[in-house]
Amino acid sequence: MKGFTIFDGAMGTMLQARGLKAGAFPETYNLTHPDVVRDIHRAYVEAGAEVVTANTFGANPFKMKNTDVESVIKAGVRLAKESGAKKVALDVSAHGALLEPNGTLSFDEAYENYKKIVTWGAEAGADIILIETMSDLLEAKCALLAAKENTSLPVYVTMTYMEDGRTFLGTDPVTATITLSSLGADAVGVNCSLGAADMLPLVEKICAYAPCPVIVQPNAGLPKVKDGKTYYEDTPEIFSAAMEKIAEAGVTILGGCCGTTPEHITALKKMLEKKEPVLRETPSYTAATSATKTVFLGEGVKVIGERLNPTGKKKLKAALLEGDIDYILKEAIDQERAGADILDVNVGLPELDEAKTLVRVTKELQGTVSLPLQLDSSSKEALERACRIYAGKPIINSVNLKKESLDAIVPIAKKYGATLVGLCLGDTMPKTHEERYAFAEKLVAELTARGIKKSDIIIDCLVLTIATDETQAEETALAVEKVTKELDVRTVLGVSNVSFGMPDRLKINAAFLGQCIRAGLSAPILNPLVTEYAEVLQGKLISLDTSAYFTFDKEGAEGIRGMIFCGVVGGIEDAVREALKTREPLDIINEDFIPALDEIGVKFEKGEVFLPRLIAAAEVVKRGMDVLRTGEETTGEPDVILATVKGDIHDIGKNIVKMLLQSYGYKVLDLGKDVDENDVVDAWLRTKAPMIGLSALMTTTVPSMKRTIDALRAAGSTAQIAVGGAVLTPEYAKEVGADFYGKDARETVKIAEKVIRKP
Amino acid sequence: MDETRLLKDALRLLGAKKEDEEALSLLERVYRTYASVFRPRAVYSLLKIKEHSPEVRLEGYAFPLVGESIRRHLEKAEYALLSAFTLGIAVDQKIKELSLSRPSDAVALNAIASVYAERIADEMLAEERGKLEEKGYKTTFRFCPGYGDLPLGTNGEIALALGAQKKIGLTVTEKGLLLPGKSMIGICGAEPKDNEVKD
Repeated sequence: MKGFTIFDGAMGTMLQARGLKAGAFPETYNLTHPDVVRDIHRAYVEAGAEVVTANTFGANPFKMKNTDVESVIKAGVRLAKESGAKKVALDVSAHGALLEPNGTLSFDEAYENYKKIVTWGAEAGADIILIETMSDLLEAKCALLAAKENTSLPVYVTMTYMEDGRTFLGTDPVTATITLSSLGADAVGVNCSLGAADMLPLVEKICAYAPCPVIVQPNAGLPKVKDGKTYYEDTPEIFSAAMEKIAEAGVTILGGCCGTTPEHITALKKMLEKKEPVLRETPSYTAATSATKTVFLGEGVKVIGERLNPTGKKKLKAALLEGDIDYILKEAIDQERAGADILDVNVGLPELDEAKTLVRVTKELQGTVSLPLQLDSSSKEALERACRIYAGKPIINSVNLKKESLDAIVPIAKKYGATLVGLCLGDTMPKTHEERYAFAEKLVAELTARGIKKSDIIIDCLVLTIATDETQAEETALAVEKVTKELDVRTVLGVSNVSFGMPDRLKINAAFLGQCIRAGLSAPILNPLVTEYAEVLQGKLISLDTSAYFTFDKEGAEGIRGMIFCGVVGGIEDAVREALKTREPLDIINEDFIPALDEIGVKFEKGEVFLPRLIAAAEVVKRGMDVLRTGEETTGEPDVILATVKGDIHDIGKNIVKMLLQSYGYKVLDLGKDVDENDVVDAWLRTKAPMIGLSALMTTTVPSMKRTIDALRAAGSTAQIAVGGAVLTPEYAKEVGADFYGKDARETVKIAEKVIRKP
Repeated sequence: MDETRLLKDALRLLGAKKEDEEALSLLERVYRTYASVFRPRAVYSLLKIKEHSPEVRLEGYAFPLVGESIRRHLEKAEYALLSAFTLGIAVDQKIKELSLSRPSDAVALNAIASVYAERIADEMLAEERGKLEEKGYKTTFRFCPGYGDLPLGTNGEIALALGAQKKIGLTVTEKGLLLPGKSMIGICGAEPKDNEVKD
């Protein structure tokens, strides 16, 4: 019988046989009838049970209002120990009330009750905490956390399922097994509700996904009622025959629930004496769960809905600020209906308490939609608090290779058993697929070294816009392929970033989506309501030659102005040199460079041309400028200081601004990205530049922008400060104390014209 | 279950007129689309009445049944049939979801579920009544906590005695309200028909 653990059978059934009244708390017998309780335990020990379960099932301050629950629990454990059993399990179960938002019981109140129960049980000398007959996965998680956080005892958790294979609240055994084992349960399984024979299909599913031992305690068959009395139909022989199949499925901890008696346990022991435990393969899967659903990544393409993110969404932003939860829930429902498999949830707005908001939104979402959530934040506090009350195994989006990020996020993912998105980003940004792969490799090494299972890692290969670098789509897709094949981890991508600053965004995104799916992408993050994406997901092939966006109409590309306007790079140097024979450099700038840039700038503003063309024009000017500057002193105090603020390493936007400013002849001091506020202050004190431009692309770094501006003002800076970046709005610009809001690079040039009145 | 009658009753509950074709077709569509979320479950216990006054006391049952109304209801009864019934939590969740996305569907489903719950509870209870009939008892109507002066708190006591949370997923809030929403708890009396009681 080596390798098996035998638990005892029913307590309630035995107590009823000895006079316990319906509706009375069986646990009060620990104080009023200790001999009866001890005798029942002894009978189970004599029958062969190694672990007896203390008579504490319903002993909960929530239920037993006018009772000294501490005494009931401590007496219960003591009586179990006095039975001579090898080990005693503290029995813990449900409150008998539904948790929010289905019911009125709060997670925190439930936690406090469980904390008391497990602490008293541990103090009384229990060896195991058995959380059993659970219907609500969140309540089971709450009890499990209380046990793990307040005792050092092993914790076993079993749920109870109906004939349809789900708990009353809709949880299926695969979802419960994955969620509870990820949270660190030492054994998971099923008890009560069904007889052993009917339980087998559920047990097989549990065994297929449990990385830990499996515990099964069935009823003695289904309850039958005769003359108003409940009885159970499985004899000890029928019970042990069915339990044999359960042991063969790979279960190693076995016992009984309602209707089982010491005779059932004797029969169970006799059967197990002849058996060897079946070794199960350790399962490996990448999954996210809600309370009622598991989504496996790597099995086909799973869509992560992106619409619950206020960046660039005015209505959602307003809803978050006003606390209009219904609007948010409706967005979620719409995405679920449109076929999303998982929902990304980001509530980062500088004016909101992110932790509080994420907790509220998570609670409400899990009461309304059945999809697993991807909690999207870089706030340690927000992630910790949302993971805690989340009824399942969430995905955390995301961690990157920076030490601060790893230190903050990894412990949360580990503690709450989350699946973790590793973003290919560190102190630098990868450009090629090889660089992305190297980042991914480092992430997997770093995260596994910190205790995250490899199968719980998803890699975000980082999508950058093709507007500034046409190769980025191809490089990202190649990275997805390499990471999938060579690193054997699942991948995720924020698809629509690829077309930032481009025309035909949906078309480009759809084509890129198809390209990445063919490369093996597991989960695109996108708007599931967009038909173009749905078609690609259904297998429609879209081929798009994006080179067309980067080949400009050459008509009119004559002369310096024409070459700039049309973005024709080749030949500009010769044209400028030729012009210098007859004209002054400043005339060339004022008469050709600036008007051409203005002209293309106006078209860009009107949406007639897109970012690639603007960049190409700036590139032509830059080359032209180099010819003009040859031999000329290019040093001198800068007109503009530029920086991406601390915590943010996105610098593409800032670099475009720099290029355009330079094209217009401004001297720019570029401090780079992730720049400390003190460095910006030092640079200004040194140069006294009349204008400073600050960039931030993430909502989370907007506060960093404010700190930089405050520091500049405190240092007595008189520079006019312009801010820009994807998440910035005129309101934010005002809030952080900036003088100007630069919607885009073109706008920033106009600001420079105002501030510096040059050239 | 007779779908036509069910929908007609739901229509009445909505306050719509019998000839309101539009409302009826909404109910029909909603019923066909969402009836699969109904998961009716019931649990019963038949207990002998030990004392009829001053309070009703049942054998093997921990609590007295308090008040004049239940005393009168069980006056001639020898047994009390305790029952708890629920349609399950999924219907509550579906109604909530629909109230955000398709409000008229939510209203319709709420009405249908209310009528359906009453009906199916009666149907399930009919089987238990039948068994008592065979033994020579006639049964009284399903008396619920909150009727007359029987306190709402009795819901919690009966739920506990029946193991309703564990067996059918029915919970009672501190104020005595039932969750899931489409649930009921009741007490029927089993009165002997004249000289017909068989052992």
